[in-house]
Amino acid sequence: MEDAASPELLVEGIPDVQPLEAPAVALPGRELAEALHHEQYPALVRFLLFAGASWPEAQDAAQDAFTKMCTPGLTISRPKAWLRTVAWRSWVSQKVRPEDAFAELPEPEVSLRWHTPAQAAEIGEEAREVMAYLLKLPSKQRAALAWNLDGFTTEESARAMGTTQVAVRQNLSRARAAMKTEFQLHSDYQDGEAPKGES
Amino acid sequence: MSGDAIRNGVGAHAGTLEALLASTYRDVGTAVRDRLAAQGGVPELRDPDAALARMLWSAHQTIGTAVAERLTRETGQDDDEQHRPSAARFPPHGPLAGRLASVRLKYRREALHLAHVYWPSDLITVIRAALSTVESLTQLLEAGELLPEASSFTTTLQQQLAQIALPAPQDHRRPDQTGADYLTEVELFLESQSVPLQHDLQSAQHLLGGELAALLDAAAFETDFLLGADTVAQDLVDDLEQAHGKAQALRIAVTAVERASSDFVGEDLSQANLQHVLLKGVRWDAATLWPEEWEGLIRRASTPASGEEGVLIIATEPHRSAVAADV
Repeated sequence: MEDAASPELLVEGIPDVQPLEAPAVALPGRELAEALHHEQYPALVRFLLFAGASWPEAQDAAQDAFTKMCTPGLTISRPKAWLRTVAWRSWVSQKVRPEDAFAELPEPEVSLRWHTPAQAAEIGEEAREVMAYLLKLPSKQRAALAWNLDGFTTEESARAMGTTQVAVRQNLSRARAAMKTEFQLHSDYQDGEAPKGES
Repeated sequence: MSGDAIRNGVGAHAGTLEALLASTYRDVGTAVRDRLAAQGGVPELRDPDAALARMLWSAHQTIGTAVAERLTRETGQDDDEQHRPSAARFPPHGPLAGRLASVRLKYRREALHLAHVYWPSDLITVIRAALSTVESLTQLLEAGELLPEASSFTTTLQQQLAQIALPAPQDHRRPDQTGADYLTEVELFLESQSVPLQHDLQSAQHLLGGELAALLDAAAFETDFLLGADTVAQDLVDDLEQAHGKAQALRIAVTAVERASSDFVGEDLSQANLQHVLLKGVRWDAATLWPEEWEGLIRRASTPASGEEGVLIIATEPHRSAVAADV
């Protein structure tokens, strides 16, 4: 599973946070899918779990994203971000009916599957509490955090989510503030500081 | 959600949100990896043609089931109650205790093999025997006499220490964020206890081969060297006593691996794939959930564990031939 783990969140303030994926020559989706499948499938499932999907939903959506990546004639320049965007949409489409047209980011119903030992015996009580609280956050904040934890810069996540960097930063900041209050934690940096990782 | 557990555990994460999130992110990564491994690994890449075939097969199956239900007018008993996951059990402490039961079972054969590699024979007995030999030698040296059999002590000691063959430390790649896969975790766990032991044993061998043997040879001509030989022999006793303590720690680690590989009392294994899994020796009880098609076979192959009420041990490998239902 690839992991860059949140360059901006964990070391925010460092001037040069590199994007996870530098723009590259667009390659055929099928080739990329074969190259990335083994490594990115688990990462994609975790991304969706952080976004609020249940285990079966996350797997279905991850499979769906890779299947779509194999579409003949498709070329992709930022495959990891592409996979997450497509998988996220696939999960949302499982949760939101097509007739519910939305202009804003939808609020798909989350499945609180990670807060009880019976459902997630393999993660500790602390991690379960964090997951359970994350799933109570608004979906925009959850999504911003999921992108951030996977190592994408705010610029990359804004582009992938079709929103602005300001909005992403704001959502990240709100998510962090809410979690700090909930868990009575301090941060290595001030929430008021704008991320400086991207230009 | 009270958040009490997190507040109480803040110390473990240096109290920062970043550390807490990173730890959760890593734990969920490990859980995802284990769950996927328990299902048989990352599913195969499905190109659109395969996806279409799967959709058609799935539709065919669903309709077939629906038709059968209508024809037989089965009420479709809800067996959720029967298969509800058992209440969470927290196995004894240890780095392997938190790993998913089905993953521990899947890699049982390999984990037990690793335990055997790191504990090929009773190292504690071997080290005790070596200690006894050195102590006999020191008594001899303290008496100020160099008997001809002194050199035979070094040969005996060398043979005794040569019986201990532990695997050399490996360069494991341990991802920081996702956690190690199960077998790497097992090996790292065993290695963490075997490396200090190896260090002490190497030091003992160095004293024995490099210094003690030379001093004893020299003492044959000049008895002043006996004092030096006695000092080195005392150092050797210290090294072997330390090695004895570390061998006990390694024994505890090996036992923990064996327990994690064999103790499935109360575990939910209903989703585990038991094909090609070594089952003989697994401990289980009435609360253990097995895959439906395996339960009868396993029950027939089990015998009650002596001294533990309600616990069963699989005595022979349950044989079964089956074709995977999935395509």
